[in-house]
Amino acid sequence: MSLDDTLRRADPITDSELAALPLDTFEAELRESILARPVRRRPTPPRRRLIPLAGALVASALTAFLLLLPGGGRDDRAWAAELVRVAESVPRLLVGDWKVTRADQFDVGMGEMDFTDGARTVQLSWRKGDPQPQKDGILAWEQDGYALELRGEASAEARAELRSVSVDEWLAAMPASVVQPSESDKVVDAMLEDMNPPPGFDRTALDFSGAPRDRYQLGAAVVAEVACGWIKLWVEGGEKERAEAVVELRKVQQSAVLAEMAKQGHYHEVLGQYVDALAGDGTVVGGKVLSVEESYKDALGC
Amino acid sequence: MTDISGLMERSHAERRFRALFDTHRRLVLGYALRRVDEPADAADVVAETFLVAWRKLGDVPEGEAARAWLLGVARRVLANQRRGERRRTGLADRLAAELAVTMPAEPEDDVVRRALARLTEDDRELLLLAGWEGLTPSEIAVATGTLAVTVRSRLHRARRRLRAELTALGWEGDPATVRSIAQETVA
Repeated sequence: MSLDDTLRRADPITDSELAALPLDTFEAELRESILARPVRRRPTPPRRRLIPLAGALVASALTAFLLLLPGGGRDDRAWAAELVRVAESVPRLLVGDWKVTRADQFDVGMGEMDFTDGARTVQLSWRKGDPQPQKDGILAWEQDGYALELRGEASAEARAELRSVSVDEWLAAMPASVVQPSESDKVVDAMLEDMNPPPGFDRTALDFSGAPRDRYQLGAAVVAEVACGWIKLWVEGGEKERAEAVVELRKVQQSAVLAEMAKQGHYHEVLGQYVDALAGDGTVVGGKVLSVEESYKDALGC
Repeated sequence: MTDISGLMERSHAERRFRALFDTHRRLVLGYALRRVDEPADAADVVAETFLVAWRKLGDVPEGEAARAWLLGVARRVLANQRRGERRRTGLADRLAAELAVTMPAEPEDDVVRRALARLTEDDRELLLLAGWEGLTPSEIAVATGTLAVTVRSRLHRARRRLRAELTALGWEGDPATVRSIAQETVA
């Protein structure tokens, strides 16, 4: 049984069981009770910005970081005040002289880092809030309003070697897989080299020079921009366009960046499902049968 | 505002709220039932969530987008409840009493439950929102207040961790044959 099926079968109550619950009378009573509550309604606010405020703060801080890093050098940094404020708000911890192998999911209030001593790996995560109850094999504690967790066979040893570091040292510990803002354009261009751009391709959509990116995530964004364009052509086009889209998507499947990403994640598998679907009957079989048209944007991050 | 226009606005708001409640009441109830120990507690989550929706009706997106908005509220209500900050509105007492007798007890010793319990709260919530509530990454992003692209990569990682925990607990599924669900897995 697949993981997805296993998870679904563990659902304590299915949708049909939910729908069959004889609660209509009580729910209607609750609904009317809520309606009877007085309310001072505010005017409808304007549409929300796409980027949450917290994300915008990080983005602007990192943009400032870029501006203060001519040449993208890792030495002689003068961090922007906004970035310092964001970085100062999180627990900046390193494990002894262990190397950081992965660092991502940074948001205001959360983040993760993997550390290795060459033989063993531990994962440190932090999020604003109370720690979860202690679980087997996971060290959890609270520090300065953050819930921290250490996972991995050497977590106890790593915990003993945790040290708080400066903003400068913490940011300098980022692994090489994090594409620095100044290198972003060059890396994106290299990733695009063995793919043909679809009609209407907008290179500026891949302008990520404002923030450091994990190389895998950057690759996913580049492949998505190209693949989504070809799939859109397939969805909207006739027989000729559909054939062209499949040929071009096969090239994307053979691209160097996707081969590199295949060692770390599953993006290539998802893209493969869609290319096969386009060459076949236009449906993708996962947990349920989906048409390419209704699902490709969510699946591929278009 | 004249009395008449005020009445019309109220009437429109009530109609919209009733439709919202009737369409999504079981979604929110299911979300709560899957996450509380006592079924009766789910009634409070439903009541508090829709009370927020009634008070902030102008913020609730139209159509299917309301699903993720409501689950985002339910998520915060549940978090408050877990912190002991439950608000006793008294609105759902009869629904709570009915739920207490309607819902069967769940089996305690389930390998998937145990594996899920070993994950971080964030990982578990992402997996359940996708697997049990059937939310897309974009909807999960709204419900959890993050970006869809982040959700995709976290979902992938969460699935990998769940697989590892299941394997450690003797799960007999073959990880090598696990198929990705297109809507859930991308990064």
